[in-house]
Amino acid sequence: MLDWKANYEAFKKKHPSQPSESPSASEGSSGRESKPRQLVASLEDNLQSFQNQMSNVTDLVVRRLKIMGKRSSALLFLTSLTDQRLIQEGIVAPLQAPFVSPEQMKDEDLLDRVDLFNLVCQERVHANLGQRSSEWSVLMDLLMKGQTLLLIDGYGEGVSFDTRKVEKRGIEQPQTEQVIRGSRDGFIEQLETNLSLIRYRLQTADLVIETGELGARTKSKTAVCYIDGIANPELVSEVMRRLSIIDIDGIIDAGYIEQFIEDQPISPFPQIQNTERADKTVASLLEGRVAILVDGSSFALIVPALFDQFFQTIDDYSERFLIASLLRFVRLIALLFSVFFPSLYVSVISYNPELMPTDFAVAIAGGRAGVPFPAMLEVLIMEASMEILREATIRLPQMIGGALSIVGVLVIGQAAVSAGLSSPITVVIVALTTIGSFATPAYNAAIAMRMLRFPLIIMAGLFGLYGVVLGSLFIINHMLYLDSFGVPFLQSILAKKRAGFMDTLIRAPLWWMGKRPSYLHTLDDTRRAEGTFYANVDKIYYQEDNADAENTEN
Amino acid sequence: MQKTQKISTTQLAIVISSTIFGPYVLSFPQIIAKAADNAAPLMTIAGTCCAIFSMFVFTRISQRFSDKTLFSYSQIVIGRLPALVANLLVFACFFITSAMMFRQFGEVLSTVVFRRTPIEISILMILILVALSCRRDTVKFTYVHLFYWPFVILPFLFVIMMSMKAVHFLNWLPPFGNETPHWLPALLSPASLYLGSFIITILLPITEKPARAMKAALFGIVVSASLYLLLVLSTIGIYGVRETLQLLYPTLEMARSIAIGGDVIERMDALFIIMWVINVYTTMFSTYFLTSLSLSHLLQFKDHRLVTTLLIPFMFGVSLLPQDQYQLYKFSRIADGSGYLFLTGYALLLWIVAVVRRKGVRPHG
Amino acid sequence: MDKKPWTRWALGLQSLVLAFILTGCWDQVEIENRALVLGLAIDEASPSAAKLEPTVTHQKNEPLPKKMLRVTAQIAVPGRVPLGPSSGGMGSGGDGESPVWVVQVYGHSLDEALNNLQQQIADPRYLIHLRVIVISKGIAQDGLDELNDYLRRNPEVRRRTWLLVSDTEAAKFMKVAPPLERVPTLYLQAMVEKSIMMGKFPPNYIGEFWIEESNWGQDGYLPYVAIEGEENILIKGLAYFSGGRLAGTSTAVDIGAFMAVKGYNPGGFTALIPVPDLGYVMIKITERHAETDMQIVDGKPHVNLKIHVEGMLDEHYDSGRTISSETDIDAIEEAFEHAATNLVQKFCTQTQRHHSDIFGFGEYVRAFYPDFWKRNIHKKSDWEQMYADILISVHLNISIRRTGLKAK
Repeated sequence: MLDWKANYEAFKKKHPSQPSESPSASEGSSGRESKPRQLVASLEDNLQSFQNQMSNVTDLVVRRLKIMGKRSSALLFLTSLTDQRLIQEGIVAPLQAPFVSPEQMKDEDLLDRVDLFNLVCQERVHANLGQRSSEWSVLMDLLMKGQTLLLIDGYGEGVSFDTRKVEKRGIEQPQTEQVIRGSRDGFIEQLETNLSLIRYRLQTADLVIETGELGARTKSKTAVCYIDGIANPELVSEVMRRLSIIDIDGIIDAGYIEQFIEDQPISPFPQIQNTERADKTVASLLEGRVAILVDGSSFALIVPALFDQFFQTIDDYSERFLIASLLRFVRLIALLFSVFFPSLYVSVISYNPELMPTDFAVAIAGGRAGVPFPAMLEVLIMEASMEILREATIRLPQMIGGALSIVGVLVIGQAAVSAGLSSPITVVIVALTTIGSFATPAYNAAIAMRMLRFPLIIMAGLFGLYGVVLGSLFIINHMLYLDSFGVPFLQSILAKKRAGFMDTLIRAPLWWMGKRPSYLHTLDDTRRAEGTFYANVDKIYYQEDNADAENTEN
Repeated sequence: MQKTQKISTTQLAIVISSTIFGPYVLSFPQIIAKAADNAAPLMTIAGTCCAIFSMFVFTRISQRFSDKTLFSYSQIVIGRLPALVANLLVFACFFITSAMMFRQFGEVLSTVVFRRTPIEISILMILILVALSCRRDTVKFTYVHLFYWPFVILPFLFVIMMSMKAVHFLNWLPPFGNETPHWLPALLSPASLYLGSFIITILLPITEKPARAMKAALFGIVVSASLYLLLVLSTIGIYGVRETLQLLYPTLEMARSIAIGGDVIERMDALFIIMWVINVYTTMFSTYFLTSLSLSHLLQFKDHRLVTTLLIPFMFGVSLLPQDQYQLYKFSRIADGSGYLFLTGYALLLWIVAVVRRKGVRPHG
Repeated sequence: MDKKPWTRWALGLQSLVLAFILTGCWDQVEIENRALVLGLAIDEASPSAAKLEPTVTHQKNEPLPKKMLRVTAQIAVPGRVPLGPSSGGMGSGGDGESPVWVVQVYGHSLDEALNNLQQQIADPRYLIHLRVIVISKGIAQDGLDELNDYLRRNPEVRRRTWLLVSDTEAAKFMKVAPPLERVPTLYLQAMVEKSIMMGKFPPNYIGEFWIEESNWGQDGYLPYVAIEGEENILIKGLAYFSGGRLAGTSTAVDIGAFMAVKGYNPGGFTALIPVPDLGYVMIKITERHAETDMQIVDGKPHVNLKIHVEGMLDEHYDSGRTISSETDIDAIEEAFEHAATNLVQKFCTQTQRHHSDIFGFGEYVRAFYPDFWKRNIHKKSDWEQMYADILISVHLNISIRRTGLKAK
């Protein structure tokens, strides 16, 4: 916790451009840490205190040994978090080894004269050095993180070695964001691995990774990534400010952080993007956004997130731009389908049957003749059962999930029609709606949209098309009034220059999108070399070699 | 992080055009045909010219005080008390016209779509929606307009384009009309359509380049005016003046007449009314915003949010005052016409006094 | 964040309560609960029919117009028309049940009759899918003011409804059930609309008819239909109006003449003409172009019609000669021009005799000679009087471009 505050203040000092309001929050939290206790010189006393304090930590191992057969010392580590082999071979073995040179052997006082810790660290131990401290709390924290503590008799200090080893799963293809064309590696739970995935793609010194801890008890390691020289410092400092005021006992997942730093908590729409994909994170960083990663969560948070981002996938950018634009259009249609179709159906059936062709209207009236409910109720029931089905298939064991979902859709739909609970058209509408809602790449945005159709159906049942339009006005207004880290949620469509269109409704060719999004106010807003655009436009009209020739002349 | 954002010239133009392209689109062709006979298109242009003049005055006076709204600078120009009285009148003007607009909206819905729903409900629903959306600052206000602008413009363009093939050019002739136009209503009714252009006086302080506001204002008016003109041209062209006079909402009838997809989908009027709701919403949003801003300035509130809520019952009450359709139309025509004259006169007065007393800065360009 | 969260809560609660109190689904009527009136037939009834009328909208002995209407309505019955493509042998009403229900009521006016109708059926009746209204000749002769007024006021009625004038009892049209469509009224509608597509009838919906009737320099016309045999419907010609009343009817071939004058496309009529030396020839018209030139000569409007049609040879028989040269074509063209000019001229004279300017020549006068118009025309009937006396000259020519696959 202290860390983020320190980070935030340090960052503000580095970028003094913005008005520096005095951060008043820095005091107060130190009161939580009760009086920093120091180690004492006696090893036995120290060990006794450790064992007293950690009596219920069952996997704590205290290994006593004599350094070079002379000075008694102790290693403390947690078996569950440490690399046992490294401890044995890298720490214990060298420590126990006798002196190499005979003169050292003779020199009885040597161990008293030199700083034993320095000697041990520099000459003996193979493991990476951690930290040297005499403070109880610090050492305890290190121990709990999987480091090995070395205490030596006669020193009121301890040193730690990095022996942390946590079981982790391999890097797999991200489950939530499948792509056709794109990399297959996704984030996993370990922060270090995730950061390495990012660094590996972004091998520049400008990539800044600020780390700190969040959660009073979990002390989850949190990293804020941005690219120095691209990301707007004000944005970065705002992210840090919001992180620094989080005060909670534990961060289990990135979703916890998301809820504390988003702009408008009571809104169905996600205002922060999350992704499992490293390439997507890197692309966002390059646009000038900021990514937040937390240990223990395989999702990175990306801020600011605008509405259109939830409808873009990473392979939009790898595919041909015409096709990608078309796909985006398809997604937009699917979105509109999933939100408006049921409510439009209800209002046409109950309020405006004149909109249908006459013979079709007569036929629909026939199809509905046996249905006991009004259209609104009928659609609501069907939609609700569809949602139940969807929710159930997520929880079902994978073996039977696939089979059951097909059975569910086919059988329930068919049975509902033949039982006279719903008309065949309703089943078609509900199926279209559900399918449509799965075309949205981002799960959280898709589910927001899916849930919003329920109020719309009710509005349609109460006021027909007028109700639908009022409801949609309400929703759209809400979206217009939303902000994500100071950027209006729909900014990309409302951008002052219509440049915003190039990466929203369509996906322009990469050589066309020469600027970073203007709403991010990036420090360096050009992405490609001067003249790329014209060179590529020329390519359309001239053969490649001709275009080249002309360019060299210029 | 939160900086006061500014709007660009184009955005200003869009706000103006979406504000003035308002609920009157449904009945305007009938009103102008009644006043001007076959000369309706010409009189529409003439009325637009009047409106452009008022717009010119609004913009010029606001440009002299490019960092203040009308409510602040009027006090500087003509003194505290007169400004208070005048701003009270501005408030009254927008209060009454928007209340009448709400009522007209309700009338259309009750006549065409909701024949059994009480008109109070239709009015109250949009009123609450408008009032709730007014609770934000001016920048968000422009966002709303920006977003809905295509939905305001496109349905009308679509209907006009679809029905263009039914136009008989004979109906446009003779261009000066078979009857002598009634000059005053023929000029005032199109001019008062552009009442909402007054919005520029509160938008100018958040415009990036106030010096170029004139261009934006002109552009905004021209876009909407050409749509109005197209509407008049197509309704007169399709129905002829005689038939237009018999139609309460000629534009709606136009939507009723078209069929698309090989005559399979007809009765576009229900959909058209729905798109028109958006159109009404943006206009009412502007007038309600103006009303609540002016009232909060009168009461010297810092925040106009309380006022927007307080206004709801009064707005609702006044909108229910007219007893029947004819009274309503008579009343709102008087309100609009006199509102237009007053606003233009007021702005003109402010401008002249400001020039004479050398208040504010001379806009360059 | 709001400083006072409770105001926000109060507002939310208030709107929630309002929503529950105010919502009532007033206008919600499910489609299957609506009695969709698909077609109406209006006949005149004898004044004695007043006895048959239930007293729904007025007292028994109120002084009301003597005129009585008999309205026959065709109402769709949900469930009889299957959803989706009908399978196999199931045609319209495959199990012998008609998909529509025909109800007959009496009333003083259309609205009254419909109110009486409502009294007799359970579901609320809706005119939103009213596609065809058939009126008998007698109703048309009495004038359509009352009918038009109701239909114009009612927002449920489409402007693209068809108003047809029948030569016999209109109610019969509601009962015929031709096998081509599932719903009988839709056959009637399809019949007229497809003839528009084939160029056999101008697109004259009720909305257009209203426009024509409103214009001072024009009169309205309607399709004139008849029933042939048991179930066949025939477009017999035009029923043209003058002063809002039926003034006369024309033959079917006159529709062709009318469409030629107005230049409606596509051309669809085929003319059988005798050509000297060549026997009989059928000419199919494919395109029509017309130009109306209006002039005031000696204080009287003078119409110059220039009509150009494109045609093709459809059939040729009853002669020893084959058509094989340009001169033959010229001869056919000349014969056609002569016959067609005659036809147009005759039709114009007929309408002039009945004071019915269905061509809208008056509109040309109004548009191009506003001064003359203002001097002479002060109401609609002024032009109808003047129309009888104007000069109409017709210049018609035809180009026959091709003669089909047969070489000789």
